[in-house]
Amino acid sequence: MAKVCIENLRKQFGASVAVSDFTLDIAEGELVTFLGPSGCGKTTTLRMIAGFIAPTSGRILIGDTDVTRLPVHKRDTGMVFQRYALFPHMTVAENVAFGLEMHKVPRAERDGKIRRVLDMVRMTELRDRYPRQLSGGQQQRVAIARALAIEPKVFLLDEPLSNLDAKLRVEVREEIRALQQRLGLTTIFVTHDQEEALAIADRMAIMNDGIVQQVGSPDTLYERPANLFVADFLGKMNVFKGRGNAHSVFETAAGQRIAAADGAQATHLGVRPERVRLQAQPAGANALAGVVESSLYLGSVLEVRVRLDGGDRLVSQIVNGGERSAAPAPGERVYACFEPADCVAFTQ
Amino acid sequence: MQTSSQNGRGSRWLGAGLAFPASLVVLIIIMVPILQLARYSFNHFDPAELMQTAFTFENYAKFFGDPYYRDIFLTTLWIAALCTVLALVLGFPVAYFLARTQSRYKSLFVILLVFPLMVGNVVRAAGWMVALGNAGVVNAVLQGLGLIDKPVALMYTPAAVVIGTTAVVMPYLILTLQSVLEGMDLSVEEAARNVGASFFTTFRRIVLPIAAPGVAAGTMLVFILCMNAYATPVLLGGSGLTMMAPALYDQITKASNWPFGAALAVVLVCGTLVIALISNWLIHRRYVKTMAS
Repeated sequence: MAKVCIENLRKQFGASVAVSDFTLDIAEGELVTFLGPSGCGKTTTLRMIAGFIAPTSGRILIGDTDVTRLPVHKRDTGMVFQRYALFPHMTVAENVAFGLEMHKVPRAERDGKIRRVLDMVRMTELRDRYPRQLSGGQQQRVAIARALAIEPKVFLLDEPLSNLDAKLRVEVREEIRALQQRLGLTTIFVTHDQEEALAIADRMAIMNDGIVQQVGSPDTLYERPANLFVADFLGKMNVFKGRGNAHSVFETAAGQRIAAADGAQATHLGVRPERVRLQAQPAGANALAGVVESSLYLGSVLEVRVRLDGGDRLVSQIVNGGERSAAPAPGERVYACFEPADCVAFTQ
Repeated sequence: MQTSSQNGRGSRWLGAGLAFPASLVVLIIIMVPILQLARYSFNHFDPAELMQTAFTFENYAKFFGDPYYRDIFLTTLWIAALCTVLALVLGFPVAYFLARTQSRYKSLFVILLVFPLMVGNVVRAAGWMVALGNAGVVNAVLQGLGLIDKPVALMYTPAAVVIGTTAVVMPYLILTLQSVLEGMDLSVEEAARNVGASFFTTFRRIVLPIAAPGVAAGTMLVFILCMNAYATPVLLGGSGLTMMAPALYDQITKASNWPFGAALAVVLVCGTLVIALISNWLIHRRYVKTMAS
């Protein structure tokens, strides 16, 4: 395994910029997810690291080697593709063996290595099956085994779970994470699913329009999003437009005053829906009076929309605790209460 | 389960019933002339009386007994094989390029490829006559370059027929191969390169085996077209080279020997069919059995 350094990477297709000024150091054994909406440049970046796309400018280093100009087959990356991409004319074992043969691993050693990686992904029994005889989850396991058999310096995954159904997605995701930690794999995992990204990442890089918006641990990104895009993309966020002052008070455009921990220069103030409690009586630093507009039943949580007296709207998420926490009915008067420390200030 | 299987059987019968009239028409249109021809091939030919209804193998005996006609068949076979191989070798890279290119001119390339198909074989052969003649473009260029002193006879040689026929069938092959290659998941090739295979190794070990059944089908189509070529061999081969289709046409129109012409036609059809079946079987044994879904 090796560290990966990406320096000022840029890719232009004609006049359109797919990735610009991408700089990121990934430590040995670290799992970094690239997260963003489709077209944000995350897959393009991954494909530049694998060597399928030549960058317009910038450098990629794997270990201490500059691989920017190296062809795909000499980069020693192990990639897992969205649609599995198994060799349809080869058995499971032959799929895994192909990379070993290309790397000139002596025939005598191949069998042992094949057995080891297939054991890792629990596919040993199906080693003589053809890809078409396997389920989606099994195919993706074989693809993982094929990528890892060559003992790559970096493990690359391009939306590897998006073709699996919801339950399997969580299962394979956990397997990938466990495998990655056990083997200490330097891993880049591209996804557009925020829950997936949060669940397995050591660090995440959130991208939009070809630009990295923020890099950090999942909790940093969730608790302290650097800008409105990150705040909105990762989870949900109530955002008020307005102006902060030096006394830690934020006044919304509609005139609502909110006590915030910081943000003298703020133009926007955000608070996560699950940090907003709805109470019959005011309590705490922020207790904004309003009327319930609607309430949405989402299973494990209830989502209640409140129209504040000043005109601002706000969403509160309440954990569904059965009868003890029945959501207030539409039309009911409530106080939306939250702590100043839970407010995030943005300056635009 | 029982009801659903009954439904399945019911809709199968319904489907067969609906397809039956059209299938019947097609069957009649295609099979009746061939069967009639096959029947003619057993008739007797009398130079004075022309065709007489009979049941004799004399026409086949004549074909297999006369080295002249046997040679025509063998010539047809090797010309067709050569043209097919040439078209495959030259066409595969073009098809691969067309299938994988991201160029915005891709549709223009495809139109250029289809364009010759809009012009009849006869006209295209006429074009080759101009190009390959003693005063043609090819000789002029070779002379201009000082490679030859006097014009080389290209017309009415096997070379002219091979060039002309290959050019005729190439677009069909390229278009077939292109659609086969486009149907292949690009990430499979990428996966091969990712685990250490070079471009050419990927082509040989991954692309070729996966594309084999489609390539075989396209190649077979082209081989059949070559076996049955008429206009190109007549115009470019002249009397220097005779292939099966011109030979049987001569029998029917010039010699008025319908029975023998019909026998030649049956030999051509059956010969082509046997070769097609054998190679299909070989390809299946080599590639398809692991790929079938």
